[in-house]
Amino acid sequence: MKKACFGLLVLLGWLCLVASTPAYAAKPVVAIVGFQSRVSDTNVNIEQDEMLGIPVGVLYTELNDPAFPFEVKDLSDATTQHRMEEIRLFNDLGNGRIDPALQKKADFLIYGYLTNISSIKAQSGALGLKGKDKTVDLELSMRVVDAHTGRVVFIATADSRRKSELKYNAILTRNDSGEDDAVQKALSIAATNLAAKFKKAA
Amino acid sequence: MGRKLAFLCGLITFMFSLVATPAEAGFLQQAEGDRVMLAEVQSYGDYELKPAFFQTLADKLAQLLSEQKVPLVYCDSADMTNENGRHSTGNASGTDETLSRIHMDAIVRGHQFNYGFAAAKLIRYADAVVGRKHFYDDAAVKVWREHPAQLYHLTPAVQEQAQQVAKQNGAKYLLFVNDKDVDVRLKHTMFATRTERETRGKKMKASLDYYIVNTETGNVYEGHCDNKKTAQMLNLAIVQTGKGMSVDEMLNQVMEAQANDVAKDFCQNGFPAVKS
Repeated sequence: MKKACFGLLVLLGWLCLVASTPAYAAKPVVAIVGFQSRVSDTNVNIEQDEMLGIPVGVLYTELNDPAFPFEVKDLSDATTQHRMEEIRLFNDLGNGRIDPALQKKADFLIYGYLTNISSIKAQSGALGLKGKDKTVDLELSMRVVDAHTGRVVFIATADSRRKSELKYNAILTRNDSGEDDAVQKALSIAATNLAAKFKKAA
Repeated sequence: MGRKLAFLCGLITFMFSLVATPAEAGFLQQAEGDRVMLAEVQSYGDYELKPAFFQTLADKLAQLLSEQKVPLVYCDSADMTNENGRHSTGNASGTDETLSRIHMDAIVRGHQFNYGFAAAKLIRYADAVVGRKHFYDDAAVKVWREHPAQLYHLTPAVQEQAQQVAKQNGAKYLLFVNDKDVDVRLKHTMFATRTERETRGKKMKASLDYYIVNTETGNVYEGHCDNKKTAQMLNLAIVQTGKGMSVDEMLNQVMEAQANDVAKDFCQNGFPAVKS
C-alpha cells in the first residue's frame, strides 16, 4: 500500500512537470527582427535595401540548428514598419509595454545593423609591373534585446573584406571585377560570423 | 515512514522547482563581479557626428569589453548614445537627463576640460559648477598624462544620482565615452593621383576621453586616446603606391582603434584604479 502511494505521488509529480512546462521554458524563442543600415554615404554602388535580406537569411539558417538552445523565428517581413520606429519600440519595452507586432512571439529579439560598407582602393608597382585593386570592406553588428524587459543583453560585431576588382600587368595581364558578388559574399561571411558569436555566447 | 515522507516531499518540491525555472540563456549569465553599465557614448565637444556613428562605437566597445569578461549591463532604454539626454534642455526623461548630467560632471571635474572645445550644453553646465575661473592648464595635463591613474570626485549631489541610476540598472560602475573631436584634412601633393573626391588623400585625427565612475565612492577615472589615419594614393614618377578610401571608411577604422585603446586601458588601468 505504502509503495503504491509512493509510486502514485511520483507519477503525479512527473505529470505536473510535463503538463505545466510551457514551450518557451524548454527552449526560449529568439526572433530576427531584421537588418537596418546605419550607413549614410558609401562609394559602393548597390541597393542597400535589397542586400539587407542576405544577412537575415544567413543568420536564420545558421541559428536554426537543433543544437542551438533557442527556437528561431524570422519576423523581418512583419516588423519592417516597426524597425522604422526602433527607439520608440525600445522605450516601450523598457517601460514594460510590448509592441503588438511582437506580443508573445519571442523571448529575445535580434536587431541587425549594416554599420559600414565601402570600397578601398590600392595600387602598387612601377613601369610595366603594376597592379590595382578594390576591396569591399563591410561590417555588421547585432543587438539582442530581452523582449520582456527591453534591455539589451548581448552585442556582437563582425566584418568581412572581399576583393571586388583586381587588375595587374606583370608578364600576364588580369582584369577581374564583380562588386555585387563581393558584397554578397562579404555579407554572408559577416552574418555567419555574427551567428557563430551568438551561438558561442548562448 | 517520516523519512520516506520527507524524501517524497523533497522530490516533489524539486520537480516543481524544475517546472518554475525557465531555461536561461548563456549570455544572461554575466561574468562575475560588480557590473559596469555602458551609460553614454556621445560627443560633448564642439563638433558632432551623426548618432549612428556613436551607436557603432558603442557596439564595438561593448563587444571588446565583453570579450575581456567585463561584466557589462546596458541601460534599459537601449539607446547607448542617449540622444534624448544629450540634446535635452531639461525636458528629457529622468534617467536620460541624469546620465547626461553625470557625464558632464565627470568631464568638468576632470583633468582635461577646456572651455574652448566644449559643446554649448557643457559650457552652461561648467559655468554653473566650476565657474569661469577654470582654465585649461597644459602643464597640469602633462603631469596627469604621466600619472593617469589619479582619481577625482564627482559633485556629491551628482554622485547620489549616479548611485540611484546604477542601482536601478543593477550596476556599481558607470562608463561614459566622450568622442569629443574628429578632424579631417584633405592632403595635396603634386604626386597625388587624381581620383574622385571620395578617395582623395586625407588625414583624420580623433580624440576621445572616457570616464569610469565608481558610484559607491564617487571616484572617477579619466582615460584619453588620440588616433590618426592617413590615406593617399601617390604617383611618384614611374612608381605607383598607396591606398584611397572614403571618410566613412577612415572613421570606421579610427573607431575600431579607439575601441581597442579604450578596452585595453579600461582593463589594464582604469577599472583596477576605480575598484581599489
